[in-house]
Amino acid sequence: MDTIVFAYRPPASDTEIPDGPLSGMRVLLQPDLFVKNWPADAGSKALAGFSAVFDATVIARLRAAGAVPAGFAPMAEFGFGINGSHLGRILAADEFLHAGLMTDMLGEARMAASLAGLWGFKPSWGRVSRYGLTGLVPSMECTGVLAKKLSDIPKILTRISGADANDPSMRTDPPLDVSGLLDATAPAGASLRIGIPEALATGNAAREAEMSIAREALSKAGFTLKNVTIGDLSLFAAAHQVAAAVEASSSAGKYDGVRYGFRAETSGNWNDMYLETRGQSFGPLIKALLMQGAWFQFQDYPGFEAACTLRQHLVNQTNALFNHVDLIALPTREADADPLTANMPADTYDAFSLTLAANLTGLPVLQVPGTSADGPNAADTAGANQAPGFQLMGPAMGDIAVLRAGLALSSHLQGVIS
Amino acid sequence: MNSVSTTYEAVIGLEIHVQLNTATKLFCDCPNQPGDAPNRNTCPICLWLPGVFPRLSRVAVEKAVLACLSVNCTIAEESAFDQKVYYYPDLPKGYQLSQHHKPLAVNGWIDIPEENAKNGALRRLRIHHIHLEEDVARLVHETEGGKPVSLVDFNRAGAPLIEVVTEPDMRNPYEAMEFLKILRTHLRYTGSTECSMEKGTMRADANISIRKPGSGEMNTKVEVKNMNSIRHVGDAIGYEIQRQAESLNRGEPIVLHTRLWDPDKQVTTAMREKFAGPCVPDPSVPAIQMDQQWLEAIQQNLPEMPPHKASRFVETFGLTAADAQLISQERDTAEFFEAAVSQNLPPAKVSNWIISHLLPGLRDHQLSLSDTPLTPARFSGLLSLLATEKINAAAAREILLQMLTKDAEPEILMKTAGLEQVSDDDALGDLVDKIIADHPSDAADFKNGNPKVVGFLMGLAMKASKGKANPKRMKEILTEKLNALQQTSE
Ligand SMILES: [Zn+2]
Repeated sequence: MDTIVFAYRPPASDTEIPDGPLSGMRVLLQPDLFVKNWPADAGSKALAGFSAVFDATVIARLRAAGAVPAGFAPMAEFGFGINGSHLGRILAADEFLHAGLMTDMLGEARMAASLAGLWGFKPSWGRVSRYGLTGLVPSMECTGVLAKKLSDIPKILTRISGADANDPSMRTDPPLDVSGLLDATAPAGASLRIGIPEALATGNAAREAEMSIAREALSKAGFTLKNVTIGDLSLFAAAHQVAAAVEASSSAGKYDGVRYGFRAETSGNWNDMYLETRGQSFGPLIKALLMQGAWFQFQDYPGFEAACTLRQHLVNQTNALFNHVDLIALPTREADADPLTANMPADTYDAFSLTLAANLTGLPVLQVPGTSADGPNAADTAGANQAPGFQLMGPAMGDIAVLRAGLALSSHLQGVIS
Repeated sequence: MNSVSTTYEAVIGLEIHVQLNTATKLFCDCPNQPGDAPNRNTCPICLWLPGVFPRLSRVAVEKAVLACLSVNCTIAEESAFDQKVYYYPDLPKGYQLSQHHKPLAVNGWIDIPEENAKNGALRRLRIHHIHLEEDVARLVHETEGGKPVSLVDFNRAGAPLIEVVTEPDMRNPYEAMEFLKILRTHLRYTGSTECSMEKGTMRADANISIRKPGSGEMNTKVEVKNMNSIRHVGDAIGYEIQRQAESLNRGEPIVLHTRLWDPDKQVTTAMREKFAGPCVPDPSVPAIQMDQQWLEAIQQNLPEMPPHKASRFVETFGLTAADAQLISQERDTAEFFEAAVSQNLPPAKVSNWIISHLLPGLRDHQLSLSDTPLTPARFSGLLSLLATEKINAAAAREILLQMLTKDAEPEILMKTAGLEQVSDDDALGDLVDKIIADHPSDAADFKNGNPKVVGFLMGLAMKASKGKANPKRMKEILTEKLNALQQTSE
């Protein structure tokens, strides 16, 4: 096993355990979420030396509930993709950690969970405040929760969800009401209809194997399985990539090295200073993404508008599926695409082709860990041999329904902890 | 100039930025006071740091809506913010939040008096739209130890602005200047803005092109910036029309670009090529949904606008159209007038004293009504003293000026300065006797049939009374005594 390397660990004095409903729960984080006085570089040289002057809303709420920010895991630059991210692996391997928070723009939280054999949940967009999240793609990103025990996810969510005046783009709903969800007598939801997109569950040996395990467990849980058509995934990817690139280009515009972060040495004028600084600040994946975004902003605005129209169409089309089914089950990852090494937009989008639909549409989605005879956390730390598991996606703001189904399902899966 | 106006017709549109006078900035709670010590009024939101989101100020939206309503705009049911993407050191976020695709309000208008119109004819100038946007930071260029440095002051960053974009309806400098004057009057009426070009809370850019009269063509336009008074706007437009006409006459085409007005040299000069960045919808600021209920609540706060006020003053108080227009120019003046009239004073007298004495007095002292302790009650008290002949007009003017700075009732000021009018016949008679006795040759002139000496002796008598004499009574007594002198000698 690799040595566990945190990007940052707080001094011991910082880790007193407060009272509260989450007392003693240790939560692993990434440096894109503000923890007061902790470094806040979001995995980018552009933000080298920048530190947080306040706690992100989710951090403040976790602390108030008694949970302890346990440290930062290394992360991919600005949390786009998981090349360089270690959160899932550290969480799975460190027995003292209970859960992790990881920003999900393309499916990062679910993918990291899948690779580490953990539960992962991306809430509905607008459920969890992003105040204090460095962020890159505002209309897609959402704080995801990874946990060893599924029941820890609703416990955390009920604390961190709910309206926040500091994030005015989120919904005004109160915190998620999870009472009853964890009650042993709660109905298992046996009457649920689960849609399975046939096209994604066939024609590919790895996906077929994974989805047959999913079918079996879903059937055992008493759910009714139905065939649905989710549409061409490449359209989801295209709409996601154009919108995400444009938003990223705007979001990263502020990293100029003048007031904080990295600044390149230059003998030239201020324009040279900006060019040099930005040229050296970003890694190849982010640089390529920003270039694509700038292309659509400056050279092909109609292309961006077309992507927005396509996105709206896909949102409507996906929402309409929930007129016929309660949840949708779909695979998580392709066997031949490696998200841990993807370092260009094209291979990154290939690696996340099955997860990004939930980000494009803002829907809640649960990553169910892959089952293996050896139990969930026994796979090697690189995740290559970890069975991928599958996703359960719910309708907009249907977070509770997704989690309830997951809990009902978990007792029918081998080696997972509900 | 004459040849220009017959050969070519100018097509002029204006883009006017107006700073709203909200207590806070557009997207955060920092004070909206750009003039404070540099970078005092800042927070992570208006410093555009990572991890924070703009929080749109409801008050700013309401003030902006009020401003839009005052110039007859239709408020959009949904308006939204876009990112105007460009980089400059005064905008280190890389984009400005503005409204491009879905502006706050559309289709407004203002009526201006037609140039040289004798019959009160009006010309309607249309407003294409008005949108909300945030101001950028301010760059300060200095030298430190002989090296040039550029400093950034974020006090202004995120200050709320509205931008008024007109249709290209104006044809000459007069119309552009008149539009700005009336726009300023209307916007100030709403209480949403100070609207001062001199103080930078109103900035106007002009888009100018020329064409053959009546041709209806829209030719390449040139944008002119950097005018810091309404007069400069007129001068710059006049210059630019002339410059473009001369260019065309020389066979040189007009190229799309931006020019700066140089008020010292009275010319426009080309500036760097304008960089037109794209506008993409902002994913973080929620759209403004203006439902009927909210709109009606804002409409409640819309005051009676100047044109309506002026015609009501003519109808109700019998003012002349010119006086009514002057009185209604500023909301505080108009309200002051109505409050003073309500104290049972003749409206014409009140308006005359406001126009002839109060407003010039304020101008001379560079004060506005709200800066002074003067109240309508004190003002009408003063006019009552005049009407009951307790003071004369000269004394009333003197007391009025004192009331602009002194927090006291007019009676008190009258007594303190000893300005009470002397109407007592015995006292006036003694004064007149002394003047006549001191000027026997003038009295002799009167006797010899020269009536002009009455004016001369009257002036001396008023002076001797230190201006306090009741002039009407004084003149009667003087005339009486001179006539008596004549009769005795006959
Ligand atoms: Zn601020």
